[in-house]
Amino acid sequence: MTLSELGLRSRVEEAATAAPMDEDAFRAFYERTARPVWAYLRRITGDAQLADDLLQEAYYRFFRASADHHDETHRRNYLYRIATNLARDQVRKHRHGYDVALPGEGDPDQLRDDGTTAVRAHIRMDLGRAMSQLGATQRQMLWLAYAHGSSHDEIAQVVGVNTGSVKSLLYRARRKLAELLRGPDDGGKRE
Amino acid sequence: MTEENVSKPDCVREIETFDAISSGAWPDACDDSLRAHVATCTNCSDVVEVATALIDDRDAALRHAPVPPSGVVWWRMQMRARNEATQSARRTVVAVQAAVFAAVLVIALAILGGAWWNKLPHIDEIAASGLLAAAQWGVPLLLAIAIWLTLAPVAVWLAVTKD
Repeated sequence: MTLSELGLRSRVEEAATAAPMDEDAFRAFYERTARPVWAYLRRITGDAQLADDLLQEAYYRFFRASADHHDETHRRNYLYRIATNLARDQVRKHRHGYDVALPGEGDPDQLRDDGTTAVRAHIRMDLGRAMSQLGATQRQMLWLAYAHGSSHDEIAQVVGVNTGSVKSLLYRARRKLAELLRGPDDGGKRE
Repeated sequence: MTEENVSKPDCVREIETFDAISSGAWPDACDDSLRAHVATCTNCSDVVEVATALIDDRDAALRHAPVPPSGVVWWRMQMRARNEATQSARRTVVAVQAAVFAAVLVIALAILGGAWWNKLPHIDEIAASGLLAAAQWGVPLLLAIAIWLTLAPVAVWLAVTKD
């Protein structure tokens, strides 16, 4: 799945949705963004149930804010910022465990499906375990940079850090996650 | 160890590496020089490790994401917004009514106090007549204002809840 397939980079769509939101505009925006936002919330909180709740709360706050967005990217970044703040507040309030599996993963039917699916599910479990060992901001930045394809400016806006420090923070987070994913036997073999 | 192997916050081919992964070209459809570079560059090998895992995870999450339909979300938001507007209007009505009753009580006490003061033998003639006039004309006026101030917020509340 490419970034354009995800609807993350379309200029046509940016021009089409710059006006204030009525029901149709909201529903179209929701259809484009709800799944990526849920996936983001799921990975940064480590809790699928919490991601469900935060998703609805994020859209409600976005809707109530009635902010004037000059384009689709701005609108989307604003939504992600709301989602990030909500997730941060929840993680601070209720320090809960990080659930490594996605909904449907670990399902025997799915693992029996074929070898590739099972291997991929295991990789995702590994990713979940590795992500659980990162800080919340590191998880947010990594997801935005590599799963969402955000620029450093966009990451800075969403996460609430200086644009200038994104590069070094992202580098450290990426280094750590790569080492965790490679495991203790393989870590640092290139250095 | 070459200069490329040294771990530093960026590499000139990092974006190219990420683009190859996100477009699905990595590893088979990208050029040999990029694969050779990744094999020796810590940064780009980290990008490959992290980006492939995250993109795979994202795609799986997008397939499994249990998001409610947009119509349901819109309806819930409308209901919640309406409930919050009603509660807010109700709180405003109660606050305004409480303020009005308090004001009426204070003014009534002041007038009664003034009338009592008027009966005292040492009170000045002019001041006494002023207080008396206020006591005579002020009460009906205050009642009218109090009724209006009580009904106005109710009218506002009804107008808001109609939406």
